[in-house]
Amino acid sequence: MSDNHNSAGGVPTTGHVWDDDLGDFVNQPPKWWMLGLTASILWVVVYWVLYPSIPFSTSGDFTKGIGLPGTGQWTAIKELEADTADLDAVRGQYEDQLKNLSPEAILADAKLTGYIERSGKVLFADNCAGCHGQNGKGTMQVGVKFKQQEQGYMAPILLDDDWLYGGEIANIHETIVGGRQGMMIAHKDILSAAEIQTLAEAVVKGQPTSTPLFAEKGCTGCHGADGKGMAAMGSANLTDKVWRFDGSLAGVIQTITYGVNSGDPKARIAVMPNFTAAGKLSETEIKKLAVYVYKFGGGKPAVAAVPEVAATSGVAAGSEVAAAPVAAAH
Amino acid sequence: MSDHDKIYSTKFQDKIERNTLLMFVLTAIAVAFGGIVEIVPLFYLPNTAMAGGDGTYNNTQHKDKQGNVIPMSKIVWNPETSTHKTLADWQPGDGVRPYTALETAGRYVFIREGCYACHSQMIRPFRDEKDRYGHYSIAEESMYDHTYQWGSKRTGPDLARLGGKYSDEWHRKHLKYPRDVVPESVMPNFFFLDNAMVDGDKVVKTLTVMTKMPFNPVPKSIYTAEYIAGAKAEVANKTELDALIAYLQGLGNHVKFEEGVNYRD
Amino acid sequence: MEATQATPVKYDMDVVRWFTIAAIVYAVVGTLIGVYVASELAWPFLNFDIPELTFGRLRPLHTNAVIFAFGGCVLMATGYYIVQRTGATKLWSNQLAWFTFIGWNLIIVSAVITLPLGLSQGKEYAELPWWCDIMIAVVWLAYGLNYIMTVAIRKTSHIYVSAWFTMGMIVMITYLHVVNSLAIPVDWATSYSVFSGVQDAMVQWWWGHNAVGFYLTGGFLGIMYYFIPKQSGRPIFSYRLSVLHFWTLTFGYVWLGAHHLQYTALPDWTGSLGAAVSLAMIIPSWGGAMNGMMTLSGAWDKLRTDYILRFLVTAMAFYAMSTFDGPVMAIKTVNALSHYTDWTVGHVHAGALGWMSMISFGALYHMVKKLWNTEMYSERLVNVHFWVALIGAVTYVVAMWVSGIMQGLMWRDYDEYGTLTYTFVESVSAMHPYYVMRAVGGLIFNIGTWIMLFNVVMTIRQASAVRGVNAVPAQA
Ligand code: HEC
Ligand code: HEC
Ligand code: HEC
Ligand code: HEM
Ligand code: HEM
Ligand SMILES: [Ca+2]
Ligand SMILES: [Ca+2]
Ligand SMILES: [Cu+2]
Repeated sequence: MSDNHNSAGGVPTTGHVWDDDLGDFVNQPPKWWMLGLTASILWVVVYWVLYPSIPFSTSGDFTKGIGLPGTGQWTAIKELEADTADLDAVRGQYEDQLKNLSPEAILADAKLTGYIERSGKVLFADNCAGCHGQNGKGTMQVGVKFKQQEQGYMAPILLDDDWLYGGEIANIHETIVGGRQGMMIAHKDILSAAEIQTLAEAVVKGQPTSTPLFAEKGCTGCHGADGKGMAAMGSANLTDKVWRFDGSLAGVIQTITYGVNSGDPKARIAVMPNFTAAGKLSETEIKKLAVYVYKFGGGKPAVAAVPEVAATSGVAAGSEVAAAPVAAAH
Repeated sequence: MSDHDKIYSTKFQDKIERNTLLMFVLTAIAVAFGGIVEIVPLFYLPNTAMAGGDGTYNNTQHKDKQGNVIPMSKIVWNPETSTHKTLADWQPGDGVRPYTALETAGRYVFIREGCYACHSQMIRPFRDEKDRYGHYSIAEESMYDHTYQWGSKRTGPDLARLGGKYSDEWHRKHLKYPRDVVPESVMPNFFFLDNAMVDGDKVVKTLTVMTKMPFNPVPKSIYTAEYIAGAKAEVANKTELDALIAYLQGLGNHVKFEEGVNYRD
Repeated sequence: MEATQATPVKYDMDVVRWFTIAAIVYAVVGTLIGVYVASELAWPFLNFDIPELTFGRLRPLHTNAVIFAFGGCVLMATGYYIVQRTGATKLWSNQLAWFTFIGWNLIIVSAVITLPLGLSQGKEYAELPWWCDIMIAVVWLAYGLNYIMTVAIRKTSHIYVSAWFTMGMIVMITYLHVVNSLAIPVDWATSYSVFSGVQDAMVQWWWGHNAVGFYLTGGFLGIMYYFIPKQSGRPIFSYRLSVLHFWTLTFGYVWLGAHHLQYTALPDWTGSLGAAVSLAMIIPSWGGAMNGMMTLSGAWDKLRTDYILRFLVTAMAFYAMSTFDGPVMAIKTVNALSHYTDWTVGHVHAGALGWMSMISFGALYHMVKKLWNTEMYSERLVNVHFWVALIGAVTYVVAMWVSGIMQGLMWRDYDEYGTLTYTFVESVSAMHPYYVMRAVGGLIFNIGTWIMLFNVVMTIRQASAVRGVNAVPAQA
C-alpha cells in the first residue's frame, strides 16, 4: 500500500509488511516519553533506597530502607504509632481521665459525659446495636420468618427505664463487663396446660398476682411477690406490660411452658455476651458504653427509684422514650 | 528477502523478531523475575509465619518496647509446651491453633457461600481499623488457613476478630435473615444452612488433607489419629449453620495481644 | 515478506467464526449476570432465598463469565485470526484449534454449573474446582502450542507485534495458572491450596494481578496492535515504541501483584516493591495507548464515519485512564483509603468495560464483516451500540469512584472529639444510591451487547442468504 512508504510526515515505515497493508512507521517515541521512561526507572531505584523493598540483606532479614530525610526508616507500624499519637493528642484529655474513674464518677462529670454521649455512638452501633438496635431501641423479631419461640425482642430495649437487671450505672456496667444469661425454668412438666393458660392470661393483663397460682407455682420466687421482677436475677417485671419477648397470650404461654435459657430446645434464648472474655473492648470502652447506655434516658440515679411509667407496649414505650433522650444527646 | 532490510531497533531485537523460539524463551525469562523475587523470600524470611523445620519461624522475633522478645510459643499454640494439651482444652489466648472439626466444616461453608466476596479477614495497622475492628492481623493468625480468606472487598465489615462479639443465637438469626436484626443490611439470607447437615466424612478427609500440606501442615501432634477418628462424631447431627457459627466464633481470639508489642516486624 | 502478495492462502477461519459468535453471546450473558449481582447489592431481596442465586455464589460466576467466557473467546478468535493473517499461513493444526473451541466451551459450561452450586476454591478469579483447573491447563497449552507453532511456520520474515504480546500472555498465564492452582483435593468438589496465609496471599495476587496484566491487558494489546492499524488503514505510529512498550510491560507488570497486599500481614518490603513498580508502569502503558491513538494521526476524520474505529480509539482512552487510576491506587497513602472499597471496583470496570470490552467490540465488528465477507446489517446500530456502551461504562465507573471514595472517607473519619464519626451500617446505607446507579449503568451497557448480538445475527443471516456460510471465501 502506498501509505506504508510515504506517510503524512514523510516518515518511512520499517518496510515490513503483514497481511497486505500492515506496517509500522519508524517514528521515534516522543521525547517526553523517553524522559518519562528514564524517570520511572530512576524513581524505582530511589524508592528502593528509601523504602523497604529489597527482600535480602546481610542481617538475614530484608533491607529496611533509609526512609525519607528526617523521618527515619519507614514501617507500617511506625506509621500507625504516629497516626495514633495525633489522635491521642485530641482525645487523650478525656480518655486519660476515663481510665482511672469509676462509671459513677464519670457520670458525675458533665464534660466527660458529654464526650461519651458523642464518642459512644460508633462503639455502641458497631458492637451492641446488632442486638439492642440503633440507639438501644431494640430489634423486633419479624414473626413470619421465625418460629414462634423466636418472636419478641432480640435483646432488651435500652432507652426505656424498664430494666431486667436494674438501671443504675453500676448494674449496667456489671452487665457489659460480665454479660448476662437470665434463666427461667421450663414449666411444661411442672404445670398443666390449664394452669399455664390461667397464669398466662393473668400475666398478659399485667396482673400476674391476680391468680393464686402465681405464688403457688413459685413464679414469685423469681418475679417477686408483687410480680415486678428481681433485678438480682434479671427476672422480668410482669406488671408493666413491657414485653421482652412476645406479649401475646400465645407468646406468654410459650415463655412459661419452655422457659428462658432453660435448656429446653424450645426455650427462649437470652444471652448477653461477656465482653471482657471476648477481649475486644478495653475496660475504658466498657465504662464508656455503660455511661452511654445510661444516658439513653432510662438510667436510674443510684439512690431514689423513679416512679414507674405505665407503658402500653414494648414498642410504644421504646419509641416514646426514644424521642427525648436521643434528641438531647445531639 | 528482508535480510537486506534496514534495522530500526537493534540487531538483537531484529533477530528476536525473526526467531520464534528465541522470542519465546526470552519472554519466558523476562516474565519470571518479578514473581520469583516477590514470592520465594516469603518462604525463608522471618515474619512470614512459615513454620519451617526448626520451629523458629525463620527467626521471627516480636519485640516489646523494651526490646524483650515474645516467645513464639505465646503466639502459636504448641501442645508440647502449653499447659493445654489438646484442641478440646485449648483456651483463647493460648496462641494460634488449627480449626476444630466443626470449625473446619464451617470454614468450608464460608468458602462455598463466597462470604469472602463481601467480608475481609485482614485488619490493617490503621488507627480507624483498630477502633472499629480491633488489633491488626498478624501473619501467624492465618498460618493454618490453606486457601487464605483475607478478601479484597468490604461490602460488609471485617470479620477477623468476630469471635465472641455476638451470641450464637444472634448469629443464628442474623445469618438466616440479616435484615431482621440489621435493617440496613444487604447481606443475603442464608436460612438454608439450617436445613443442611454437615458431611462428617468430608470433614475427616479435610482434616487429613490439612496434615499432608507441603507448607505449614497441621502438626500430627494436634490433629492426632484419635482426633481425626473422633471428628465424625464431633460434627454428627450438626447443621451447616451450627458449623459456620462455630467457625465465626473462633475468629480472632487465638492470640493474647500485649500493649506496645510490635507483632509485624 | 512479499510472500503475502504471492499465492493467496486459504485460512482456517471456521473456528474463528465460531469463537466470534461465542464471544458475542458471552458478552451478553456475562454482563447480564453483572447487572444481576449489581442489583442484588442495591435490592437484596433479589437473592430470592435461592442458594444458587445468592450474591456470594453469583459474583464469581460473573467474573468468570466475563473474563474467561467473553474475554477468552475474544482472545482465541482474534488470536487465531491475527496469527494466520499476519503470518500469511493457515493454522499449524486446525483440529487442535477445534479442540480448544470445544474444550474452552466445556470449561465454561462446567463453570456455569459448578459456581452456582457453590463449588469454589475460594480464590478470586480462580474459583473453579480443581478438575476444571486441569481442563483449563490442557486447553490453554493446546492453544499456546497451536499459536506458537503457527507463528513458527509463518511466511513473513518478522513476527508481527500482536503475536509478541499474545505469546507473552500464553507463557505468563501458564506459569500463573499452574502455580496458583496447586491444591490438594478433598473430594471431586473441594480442594485446598497447598499454600497458606501470607504465601497463599502473595501467590494469589501474583496470579490475580497478572491475569489482569497479561490476559486482560497484554492479550488485548495484541488485539489493539492489529485492529487499529487495520481498521484505519494506517501503519502503526512507531515501531520503536512497540518494542519498548512490549519489553517494559512484559518485564515490569509481573512485579505489581504485591500492590494488592499493602499493609496486610506480609512484610513491609513486599507491598512497597509492588507500589514502586506500579507507578513506573504508567509510562510504558501510556506508550502503548499513544502508539494506538497516534496511528490515527492524519486520519482523525475517519472517526466521523467509521464507528468501529470509534470503539477502538475510545478503548485506548480508557486504557490510558485505568492505567493511571491503577498506579494512583497503588500509592501507599491512596491504597490505604481505596483498598476494600468500591474504588477498586470502579477501577476494575474502567478497565473491563472501557478498555477490554470496547476494544473487543471493535475487533468483533471488524472480524464479522471480514469473516462473512459482508457489510454490517446496520451501521447505525453499531453507532448506537457505541454510545450506549460509552454511557453505560461512564455511569458505572463514576458511580463506583464516588461511592468508593465516600466509603473510604466514612470508615476513617474522626469527629472533633477524636472518635469515629460513622458506624459501619451508615456506610452501607450511604452506598445504596450508587449501587442503584451502578446497576442502571450496567443495564445500559448490557443493552448495548444485545444490540450487537442482534446486529451480528442479522448480518450473518444476510450474508448466508447470499450464499451458505461455508462457501464464503475465508479470506476477504
Ligand atoms: C448477642 C446479642 C447482644 C449483644 C451483642 C449485646 N447485648 Fe446487651 N443484652 C443482650 C441480651 C439477650 C440481654 C438480656 C439478658 C438477659 O435477659 O439475661 C442483654 C442485656 C443488656 C443489658 C441489661 C438490660 C436490662 O434490662 O437490665 C444492658 C445494659 C446491655 N445488654 C448492654 C449492652 C451493651 C452496651 C452492648 C455492647 C457492648 C451489648 N449489650 C451487646 C444481648 C446482647
Ligand atoms: C428461675 C427463675 C424464674 C422462675 C421460677 C420464673 N421466671 Fe419468669 N422469667 C425469669 C427471668 C430471668 C426472665 C427474664 C428473661 C429475659 O428477659 O432475659 C423471665 C421472664 C418471664 C416472662 C417474659 C417477660 C417479657 O418481658 O417477655 C414471663 C411472661 C414470665 N417470666 C412469666 C413467668 C411465670 C408465669 C412464672 C411461673 C410459672 C415464671 N415466669 C417463673 C425467671 C423466672
Ligand atoms: C452481599 C454481600 C454479603 C455477603 C455475600 C455476605 N455478607 Fe455478611 N454482611 C454484609 C453486610 C452489608 C453486613 C453489615 C450489615 C449487617 O450486619 O448485616 C454484613 C455483616 C455480617 C456479620 C456481622 C459482622 C459484625 O461485626 O457486625 C457477619 C458475622 C457476617 N456478615 C457473616 C457473613 C457470612 C458468614 C457470610 C457467608 C455465609 C456473609 N456474611 C456473606 C454483606 C454480606
Ligand atoms: C454490565 C456490565 C457489568 C456490571 C453491571 C458488572 C457488575 C459487577 C459487580 C456488581 C461486581 C461486584 C462488585 C462488588 O463486589 O462490589 C463486579 C465485579 C467484577 N467485574 Fe463486573 N460488571 C460488568 C461487566 C464486567 C466486565 C465486562 C468485566 C470484564 C472483565 C467485569 C469484570 C469484573 C471483575 C474482575 C470483578 C471483580 C472486581 C473485584 O473483585 O474487585 N465486569 N462486576
Ligand atoms: C499500570 C496498570 C495498573 C495498575 C498499576 C493497577 C493497579 C491496581 C491496584 C492498586 C488495584 C487495587 C488493589 C487493592 O487495593 O486491592 C487494582 C485492582 C484491580 N485492577 Fe488494576 N491496575 C492497572 C491496570 C488495570 C487494568 C488495565 C485492568 C483491567 C483490565 C485492571 C484490573 C484490575 C482488577 C480486576 C482489580 C481488582 C482486583 C481485586 O479483586 O481486588 N487493572 N489494580
Ligand atoms: Ca428495658
Ligand atoms: Ca476483589
Ligand atoms: Cu493489580
